[in-house]
Amino acid sequence: MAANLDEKPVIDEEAYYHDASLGGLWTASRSAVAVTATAYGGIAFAYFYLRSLNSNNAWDPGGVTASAILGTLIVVMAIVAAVSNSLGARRLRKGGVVDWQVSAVFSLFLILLSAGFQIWSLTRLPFTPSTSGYAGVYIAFAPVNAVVLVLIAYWIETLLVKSIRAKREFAQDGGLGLSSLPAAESFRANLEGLGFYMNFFALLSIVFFVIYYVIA
Amino acid sequence: MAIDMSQSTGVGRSGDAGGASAAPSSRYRLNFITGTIAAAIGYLFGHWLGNAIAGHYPSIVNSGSNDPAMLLGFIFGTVGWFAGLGALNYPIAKLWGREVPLAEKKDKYPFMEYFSYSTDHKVVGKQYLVGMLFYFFIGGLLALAIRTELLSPTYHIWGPATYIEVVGEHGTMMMMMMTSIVMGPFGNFLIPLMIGSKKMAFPRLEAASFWFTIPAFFALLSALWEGGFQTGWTGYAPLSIQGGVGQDGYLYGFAMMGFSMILASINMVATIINYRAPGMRWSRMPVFAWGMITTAFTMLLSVPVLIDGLYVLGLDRAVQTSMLYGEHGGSPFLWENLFWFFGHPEVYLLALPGFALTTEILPVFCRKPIFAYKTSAAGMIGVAVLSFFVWQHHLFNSGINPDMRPLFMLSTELISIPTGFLYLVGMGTIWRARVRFTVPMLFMLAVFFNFLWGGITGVYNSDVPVDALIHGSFFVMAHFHFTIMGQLMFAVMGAVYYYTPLLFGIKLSEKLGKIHFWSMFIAFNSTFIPLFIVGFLGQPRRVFEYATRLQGLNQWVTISSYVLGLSLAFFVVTFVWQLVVSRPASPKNPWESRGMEWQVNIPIPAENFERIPVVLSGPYEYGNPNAGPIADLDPVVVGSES
Amino acid sequence: MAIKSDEVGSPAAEARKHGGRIFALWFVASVIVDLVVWFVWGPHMAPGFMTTTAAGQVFDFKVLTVLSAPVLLMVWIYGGYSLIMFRDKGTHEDGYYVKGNRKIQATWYTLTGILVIGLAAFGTYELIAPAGAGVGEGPSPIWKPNNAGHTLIVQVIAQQWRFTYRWPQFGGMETTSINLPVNTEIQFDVTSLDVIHDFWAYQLGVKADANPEVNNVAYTKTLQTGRFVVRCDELCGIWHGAMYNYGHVVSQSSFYSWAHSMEAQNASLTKLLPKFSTSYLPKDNVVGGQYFNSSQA
Repeated sequence: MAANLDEKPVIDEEAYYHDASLGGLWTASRSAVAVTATAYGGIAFAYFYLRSLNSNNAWDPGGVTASAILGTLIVVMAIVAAVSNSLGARRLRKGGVVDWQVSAVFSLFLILLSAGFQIWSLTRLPFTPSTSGYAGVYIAFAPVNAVVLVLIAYWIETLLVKSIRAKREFAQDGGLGLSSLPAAESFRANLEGLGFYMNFFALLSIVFFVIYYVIA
Repeated sequence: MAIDMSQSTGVGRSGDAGGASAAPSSRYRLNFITGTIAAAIGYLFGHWLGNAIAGHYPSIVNSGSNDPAMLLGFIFGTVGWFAGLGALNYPIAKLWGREVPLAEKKDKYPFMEYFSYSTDHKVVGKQYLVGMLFYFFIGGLLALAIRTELLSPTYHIWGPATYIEVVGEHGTMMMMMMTSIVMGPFGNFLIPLMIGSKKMAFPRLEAASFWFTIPAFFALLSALWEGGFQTGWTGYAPLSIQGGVGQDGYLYGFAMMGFSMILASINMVATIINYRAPGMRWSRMPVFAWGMITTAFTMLLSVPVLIDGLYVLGLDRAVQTSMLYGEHGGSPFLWENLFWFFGHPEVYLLALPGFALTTEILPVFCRKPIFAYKTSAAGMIGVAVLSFFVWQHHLFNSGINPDMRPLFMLSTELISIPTGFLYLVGMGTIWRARVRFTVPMLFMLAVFFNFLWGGITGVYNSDVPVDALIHGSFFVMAHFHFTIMGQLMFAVMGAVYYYTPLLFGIKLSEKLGKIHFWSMFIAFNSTFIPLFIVGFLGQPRRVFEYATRLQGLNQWVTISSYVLGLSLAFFVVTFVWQLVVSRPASPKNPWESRGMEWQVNIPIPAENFERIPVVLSGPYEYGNPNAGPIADLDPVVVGSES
Repeated sequence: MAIKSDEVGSPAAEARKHGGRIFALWFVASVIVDLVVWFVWGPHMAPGFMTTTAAGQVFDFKVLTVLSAPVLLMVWIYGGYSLIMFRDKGTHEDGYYVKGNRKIQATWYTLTGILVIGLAAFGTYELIAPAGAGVGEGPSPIWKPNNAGHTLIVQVIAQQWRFTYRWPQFGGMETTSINLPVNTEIQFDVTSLDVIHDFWAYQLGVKADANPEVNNVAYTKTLQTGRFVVRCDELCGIWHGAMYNYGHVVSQSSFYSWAHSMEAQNASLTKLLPKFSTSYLPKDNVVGGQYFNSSQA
């Protein structure tokens, strides 16, 4: 985009801002990852800090953890949802809009279910909040995780509905996955951001599964 | 998060070219009145819900403290607030796959636009400016209340409980709200102009960031009516766990401000990275934009930890976990670490934008390029990066990790190197300049004068043996007032004088401005320099009783602070008078600046630039006889539709 | 300087002209100020010389001031000179077009780097050599005085809103006032019964946070007799401002007579106290209050 001093520069303004908005989506999804990582990092810090201090030997006296069955289900579903979404997105790029839609419905279902399980886990705690340090950090973690899961579900849902609504719009142009219309490119950039976020979240879930259930 | 990832370029629509989509009906525009009503309903519902859930627990019955009800009230109140503002219409419509386009920008808005959820960055900037100055003056009045109590070591104007409430409110108000006093008004208003863009990346996030500050402010202020909080802005546990429901106002308000900062930062980062005009390379970017992007990155990586800390505190209070209390497996040190991991970057979140403004404005009135441009950017990045590795210098006496003290002493003192860069830049810039002593320039020079006290005493604080003397004393308090008020607020005041032509189309009186400047500058130094001595002689912070031998100095400080208050009141009166009544018109580019933001007409057109500009040279080429224009404002534009 | 030319009005000549004046002014001012700081202010500097750590703080403060005064003066003199000489004299013209100078920048980076690392090294030495410089070192201190055998142990117990002192070497008695013998190594074990306080004995040069359930150890050695003030230095609630008392450093003989008489006087009460420990749970002291309702926990 270097300016040429001899002749008037020529700019395609619409394309310029369209490209900028695609970049904006990319930046925003990465920023969301950074913010989520930092927020979860704070909780992980709390976990390891209290665990290593073990004040009054009350970190986790009985070695009690939250429901491991629910915890395992949640992490497995988060991983499966991320995989299903990224496979679906790959099919979308080859033109298989319906394939992605099916995978999105599936991911949405899993994510919502795991959010529900996460909340349910809070009603089935084998300890009271002030029992131990572990109890505290688990109760801190579960609602945050549930909220993030709901936000991911929201993100999938909005993309899904948009793809259904826009079906006719792109029918002439090869469908949502192949169309070169700006709106289709925005959609794909948004989906790419979602995929990145979900993959990151799956990794995060594994880390926290290890923290809360494996080494607790 | 996933909400509000709307693009300013809607489907098949590009500013003035598209025009296919109709703006939403403005007749039924929701505004702060509907927001307030909905917030009140939400609060009452949440409070009722909290009582229904937790009212019968023995720890709550007759304790005068129902934290779940307070927190649920705040949460539902905030949701109601945003619903009443109409901010939730967009994310809810998205659930049905409907994209509500952004409202068209206009050259002139009805007055109520400034009280509504506006997505025009120029409106948001003005909203922020008025809001932040309002919060600042409320905090300032609280400071005067503190000083009034300290007129006498024994005679008390407030009771000790009220005094502690006032101290906590003042500290928290200033530390949490002032984080946005540069990025909010000047960042949002100027960044698109400076980088040659017609729009922000995420106008809805930008608007939300402003409207979060209002529940933050009221939640914090409401603590005064709920018995206040005793902990000061640092909120140390377990004192913060014991406190009454005022503490919930503290933690909720601070957390809301955290959300505001995160949203504003995401928008700022995405805008600066992606929306720069053609030719606006990184090496040509204004220093102010460098300051904003470093500040935004620092916020993104530190504020979530603060929110974690406040959340942990809230859980300990409301659902009786024990993460900050030792007997059941927690530790008060957890709070100290989480809080200061945010808390130290926070003070640079306050300082960096001040330096960015200073470095931006200095060359205009020196009529010279910035000296060592890259060093100034590197200085800001260096400060931002190092700020994450110094937090335990607040805990040198706490008993935590004594073996780490030499490390944190080193990392803290290393921060003086990038801070020194900014002095090199400033001093190099005035070398053989042609300094024009306008009001904004006077403020910028005062920034260097004031920050020098703060910076040098910062080295004293970082030295552990000396810190043993001055930690928690008025010496430290004077130190950070010099770095925050002396630096940030002077930069902000200068920027208000400098940018009012762009913001409001008026040029403030130089004569009145000089009266304001000199009275503020002298009163400020007269207030805070004696406090170094007071602290050095052994007066701890946040006390209402002190040694009688220090009464003379304290009285001097109090009277100076009244003069400072009068000076700021003078500013408010003259500013409002000129803004509302006399409105002295400003010509285009009154300061003869080369900055991109000054190349537009006054008042600024709705889309900032008629055509997308092409940047041809750097913004600081003063005194360069061969410098061409900064940008081609009228390039040939093609569009897919034209 | 990167500039070679010697012509009048050339950048190099200008730099020499102005730079020479600035340097001369700065040099003279710095020497005067530093001498005044060291020899006039230094001997009277707070917090005095009652203990080794207080004297260490004075020394550090003096060194830092002597080093930072020239920095302050450099900015002032350079700034003041430049603002007067390089002001716009009504001609409304632009300044000298220069965007940087590699040598000056490199010199600046090097000098600030050396100064800062030197200060950090100095601070580290001053922290470690006098056994932690009077700062609380947590439950397991790493910098201890050499002759730890002859140490007087004083436990400082902070609570809302007062300090009391326990003396394990005198039968575990607890007193409300504090006296210390001169020329003695003192070990303060600082703890709290409720919230975070801070034990700041100003003239002793000791400062240590009092954390609940944590023992925070600080050392000093008394050198002179006299009165000192103890203040709380972490915000601990509404009466934080009133949480102070006074103590005395007295001769060894009067200290021991005081201590032994207090021990005898308090013997009947000492029996009722919880066993001496480096920290106490709130339930050890029923008056200290409980945060969590017992029926909830």
